Amino acid sequence: MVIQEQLSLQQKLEILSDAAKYDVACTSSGVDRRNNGMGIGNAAACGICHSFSSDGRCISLLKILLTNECIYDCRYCINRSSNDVVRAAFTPEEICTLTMQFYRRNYIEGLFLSSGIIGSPDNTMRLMCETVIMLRSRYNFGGYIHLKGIPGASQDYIDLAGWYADRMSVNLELPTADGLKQLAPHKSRKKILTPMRRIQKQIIANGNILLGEDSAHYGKTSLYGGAEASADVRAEMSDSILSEHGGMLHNINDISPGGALSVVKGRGANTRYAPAGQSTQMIIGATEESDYHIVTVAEALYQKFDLKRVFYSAFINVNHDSSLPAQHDGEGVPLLREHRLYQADWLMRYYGFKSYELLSEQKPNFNVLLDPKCDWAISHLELFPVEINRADYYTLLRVPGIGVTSARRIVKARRCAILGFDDLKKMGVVLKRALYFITCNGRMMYNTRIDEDYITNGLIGVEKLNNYQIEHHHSYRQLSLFDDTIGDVKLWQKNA
Amino acid sequence: MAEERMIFRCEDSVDGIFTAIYKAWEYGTSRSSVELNICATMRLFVQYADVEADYGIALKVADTIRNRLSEEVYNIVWRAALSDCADKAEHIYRFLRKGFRMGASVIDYRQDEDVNAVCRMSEYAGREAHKYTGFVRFEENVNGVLVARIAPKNNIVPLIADHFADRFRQENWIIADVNRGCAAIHRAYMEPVIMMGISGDSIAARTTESADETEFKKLWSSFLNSVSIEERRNRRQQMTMMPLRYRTFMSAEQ
Repeated sequence: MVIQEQLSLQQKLEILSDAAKYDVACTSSGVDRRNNGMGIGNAAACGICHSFSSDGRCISLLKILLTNECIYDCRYCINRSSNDVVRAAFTPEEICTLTMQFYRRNYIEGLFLSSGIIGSPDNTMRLMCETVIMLRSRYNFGGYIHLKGIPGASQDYIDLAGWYADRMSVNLELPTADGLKQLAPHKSRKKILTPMRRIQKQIIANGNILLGEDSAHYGKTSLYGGAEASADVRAEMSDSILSEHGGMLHNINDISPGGALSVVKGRGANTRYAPAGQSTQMIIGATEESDYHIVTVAEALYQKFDLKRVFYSAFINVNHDSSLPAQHDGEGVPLLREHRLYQADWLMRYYGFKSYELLSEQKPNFNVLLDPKCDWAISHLELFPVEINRADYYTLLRVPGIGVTSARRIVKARRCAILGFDDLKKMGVVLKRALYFITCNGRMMYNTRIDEDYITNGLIGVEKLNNYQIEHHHSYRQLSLFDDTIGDVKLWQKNA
Repeated sequence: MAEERMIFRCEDSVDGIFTAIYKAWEYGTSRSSVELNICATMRLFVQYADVEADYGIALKVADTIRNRLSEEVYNIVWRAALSDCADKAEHIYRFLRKGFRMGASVIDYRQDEDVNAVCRMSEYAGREAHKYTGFVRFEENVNGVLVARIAPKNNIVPLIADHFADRFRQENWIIADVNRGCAAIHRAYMEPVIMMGISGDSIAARTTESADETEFKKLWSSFLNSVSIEERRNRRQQMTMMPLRYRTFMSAEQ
């Protein structure tokens, strides 16, 4: 394979951002950092979107590959070695220039750097480290950096990277080891989980996890246990980190004499290891896993690896590979499924739901017509109606139509007075969903029944339009009063 | 005979609103209200008094809110005063009256009409300001100064100036609100200054692009193109997340 020489910066950017676009995470959240006084940039914990592409996804980071050259041949990947595509590679300087110049024009929040495997995992990871170290040290860049951990790269490089990147992520690629074996013959589950575990250990050892900005409100006791245990480790390591770290830099300097790394002195740019935590992503719909399978994997990742986020990526058959699900004319990209998984993900992270509450072996897939929260509430009608003026915070969170913000507002507001339905509306409760499940001062809003079929009918009317829009995002057709049935039939067919 | 009901009219600025609230308070809270002088419809059987914005008085009001209520309440009131709602002055006035009775916890009392209105206005301005922290586009002019123009609904320049002052500490930059003729001007390593009465022409005269600018605009434009996935194309979603009104000065996102 030959890397094209003499490509312009423009051409490289086109090739390498095009190749990076299937990576999901473009978030820039999780860390608050003021300008360090040396150079450009800061970071906002809430994350900032700088643009939205024509597929409606947020653009927050300059999302590029270092190179799209790759020694692996994963069936789902556009950059696989057997594909005949133009190959290009950025130099670290080019990446730094692009990042700095885009950043100061406020196009981006920072850099998202991933890469195909060039030469070996170690070689790739070394180049990536070199780039971010150069960006932080020579260009004094203080913005956000999301760096991919390359499976199979040595521990030293993984350890180094987190001192310069805000967020680290290692792609899980597929939900199960079998799927991985089938579609990505050069990767193994172990190779992926090793760096993930290493990043987790570094984060815990360096006191980041206590903040847990993104973690669920409850049900994460193991997380705090882990952090407590790390207090000893931290005390022990307080000195050794510096020297260990310095020592390692020395090693790398040996590998690349006179390279970018020689500018680095002392420890990295961060005061904590990967301050914005770790994330991962997996492809949905390329293999046979059920939704139940996927949410349990995600739950395990949150609990056992302390991940900040798990991202889901609806499978797109970019290579028209015959062993993978066929998608003719762009039809069949499982967008609604992806949407349902994100909804469930939110329920697990912010609403205290467990995967077994949402799905089970008997009911392995999400309802096409109802969001997971409504679906759960309808099958647990014995818990409803909930009295708004008395129910505790966590009970309120479980009511469809009440979210984190409105639940908090309710809890605060009812200290002063008894709340009615009009007040709930002011607090942002979505009454068209909530009205079936709540009472205010002992009364339902309308004369509704606590009956499964009755409520399902009412809620599906609300959901139908949303789902229709997700499924038919291509079409510009005006919705009219009369084409509801068309949408209906299609949705049911997909379900069948 | 009781004195007549008095409406204090003020200019649309934080100082103006705070000054009018001070005067109205002095007059007696039971028979006064506050209104922006852009509200055209006048009422019968009331007196009108025009209030000149007074920085000293406004500062007193601000300090009182900070000390007797809280910094958080002050921020909410401040953002609400910068919002684009015609009846904001009266809502803030009534909100503060309740606030000084109830204390800082007044903001939890969302079922109250005025509290809800002030919180909503504050969120409205805050949300737009947050959007603009991402959507502001700087163009480097021939002198190396970064110039951005925006056309927001709310008066958000004061809300975003500190964010950019921290982020682009060593840059000289201007963010100009073309609707209101106000701008935040930042000299490298200094505090940003908010200036009023800046004409669109004087900003336009400063936007002659540097040589680099054209190149990086082109690069950004091609990045936007190549990073979107055709199979997931969803213009409606893009429009929801980034309505056209934000894109007036985003050359690549047109």
